[in-house]
Amino acid sequence: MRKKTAILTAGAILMAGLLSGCQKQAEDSGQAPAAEQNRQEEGTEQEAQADQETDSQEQVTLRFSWWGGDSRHEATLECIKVFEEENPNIKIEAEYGGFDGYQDKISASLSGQTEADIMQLDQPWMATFMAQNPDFFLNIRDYADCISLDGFSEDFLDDFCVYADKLVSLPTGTNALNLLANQAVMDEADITFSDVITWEDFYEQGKKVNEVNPENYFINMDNGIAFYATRIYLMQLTNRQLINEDYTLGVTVDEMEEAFAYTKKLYDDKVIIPYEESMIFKGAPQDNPKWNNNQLGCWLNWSSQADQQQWGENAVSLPYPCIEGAENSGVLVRPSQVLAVSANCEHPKEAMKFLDFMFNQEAGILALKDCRSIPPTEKGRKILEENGLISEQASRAVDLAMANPGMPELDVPNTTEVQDTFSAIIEKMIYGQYAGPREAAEEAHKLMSDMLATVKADME
Amino acid sequence: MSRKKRYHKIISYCLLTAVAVIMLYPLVWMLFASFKGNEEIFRASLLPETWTLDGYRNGWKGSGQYTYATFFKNTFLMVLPMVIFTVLSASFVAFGFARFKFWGKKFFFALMMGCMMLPNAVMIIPRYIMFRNMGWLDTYLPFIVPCVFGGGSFFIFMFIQFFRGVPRELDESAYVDGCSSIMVYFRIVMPLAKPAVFSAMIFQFMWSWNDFFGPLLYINNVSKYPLALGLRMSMDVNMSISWNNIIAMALVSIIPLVVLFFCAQKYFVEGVAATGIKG
Repeated sequence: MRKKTAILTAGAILMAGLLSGCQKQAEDSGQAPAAEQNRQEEGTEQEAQADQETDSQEQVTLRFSWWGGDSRHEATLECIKVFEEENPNIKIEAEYGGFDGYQDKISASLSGQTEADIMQLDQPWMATFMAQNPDFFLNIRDYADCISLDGFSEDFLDDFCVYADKLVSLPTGTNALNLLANQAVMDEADITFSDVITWEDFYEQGKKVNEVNPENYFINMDNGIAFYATRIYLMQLTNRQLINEDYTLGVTVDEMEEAFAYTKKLYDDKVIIPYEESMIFKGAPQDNPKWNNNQLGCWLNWSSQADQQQWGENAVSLPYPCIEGAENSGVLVRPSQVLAVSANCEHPKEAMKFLDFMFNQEAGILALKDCRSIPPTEKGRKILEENGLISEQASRAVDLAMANPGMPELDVPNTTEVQDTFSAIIEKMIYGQYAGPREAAEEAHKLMSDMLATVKADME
Repeated sequence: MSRKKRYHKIISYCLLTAVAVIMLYPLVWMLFASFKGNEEIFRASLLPETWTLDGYRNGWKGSGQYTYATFFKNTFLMVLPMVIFTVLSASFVAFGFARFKFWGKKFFFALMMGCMMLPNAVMIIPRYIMFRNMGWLDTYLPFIVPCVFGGGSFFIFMFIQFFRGVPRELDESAYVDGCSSIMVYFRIVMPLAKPAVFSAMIFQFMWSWNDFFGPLLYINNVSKYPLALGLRMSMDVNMSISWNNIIAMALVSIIPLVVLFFCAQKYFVEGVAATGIKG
């Protein structure tokens, strides 16, 4: 008898759950499409009215999606708040998250045409997106009355944001290659650099850190070295692209050998932290406790990372190492990210107005601070500098880079497979799996050529 | 003989303990790390030098707009209906396959098994487009509704296998007493299938609780983010991350899973023989 009641009660609870579940669902499903419809209706009305009067006071909702960490979320939400106060008829729905999976989400929503109106994207993705559909994003120049582009460097826009004569995105900030060094470590090892730092000088003086204290190293970098040292060295050496537009290698075995030999030297003579140790902190060398303990001297990295230290007065941005007399400084400058407006956006004028607010209006610039690196416009940078809101090292790094920026890398042929092959060979060389840099260079040349041929065949 | 047995026992316990320690170490590390300050996390010591609750206090606040209370609420709103509907509908469908003969049974069974073999990756885009056309994006419907209709081949198959082990004689005696099929399902088969019900519950709860990619695709609005998205919200590639906040919140977010698992654990061992034949 007791069992029976128990079963019945359990059944009743389950049924109740089922029913209430259904009800909740019905409410949800009833509301969601209705809301969507409303939005669409609003949209068409809005467009119709916008033709007659530009300053429509009708409520407009825009979706803005970005990735980032806490500080960027807070700053961007603050910027949205200020903008909404100034424009009570525009509401901006923030969609933000971490970097994990963001690209997948954007790709899926672009294919499904459900993307946000304003999107933060990474510049290297643009080539793929534009190949998929050249009309994913609006041409920002068509909205010259809503957004002023005066503050932007034309060259910079041309290099990174223009595809097929359309300005499809705007850079959120300037990011440049940077040599960030710790003065305390350099003083201890008696390192002094002149205004131009050659790779040879960088190596010779760098050795001293480990000589003074065998626990310490001059360079704190993980497998990124394959890019920041080996590839940049190659670019300066050859003044050519690593991979040409026609999917062939732009460098010879001899040239590779020279760059590889230099990289190997850094490891052999303990200028750089041993590979085994650095790979524990792969992707985040700043997490190594030695970094903030004045035991590691410097890194080669993007300027946006320059605030990743607690060295105080000791942090300095130095000129990037170079080959003497090189035509190409190799110091890459690129947008930290870009912002694009979807072609499906129903209120492009309002969206552009928001971009203008972020880039050109003092209130917007002050709210955003340097959460997306050094602002891309001269005005924005000045405002932040005056208010002391900018990382000094990052700002100096951009100054140094802008004095003689390197030739931008081609993004179309630079596929990840080829880059990974390159890094993998450097890695094997560091672990001593080749007889010498020559063998590694030959292997790299062969593997990369083969792979490029396959990639090219796939493209055709 | 008994000495030898004892000797064996000691060895196996030692081995088991060693393995258990290795398996548990990451969790223990996480527990202690959540009480550390951010700069201390990557140091080698297991125990924090200074114990602090900052990770929990600041972590709970999230990135400003929404606290973890919202993310917890959302996760429950999404996961609980999924679990309830999965158990009910998967067992119901399985009951049909296990107990009745009907036209096309073999074909439908093969179809269902075929769905199980289908790799998840090929379904992502078609499903996304289907749910978009239904206007279900940015709601929990893409997760809940499929659970109402079978809840996935895996669970159906699991129930079928279990029902096959429940003696038919029990149903037959109920039919002889004048019971209808549906009452056989509710009163005879389901009470005996408690271990299967609990495994389905735990699996579905765990999977949907931890699912990251699904919510990432379908949920846009931060106010609807479940925990999996909330936890990764402040993780950027090139910014300093407050690891202590994230670890503390990750720890809080696994508590429901651990509680559920320990509460339901005893039903795992409760076999059919114990509940069915004897009772």
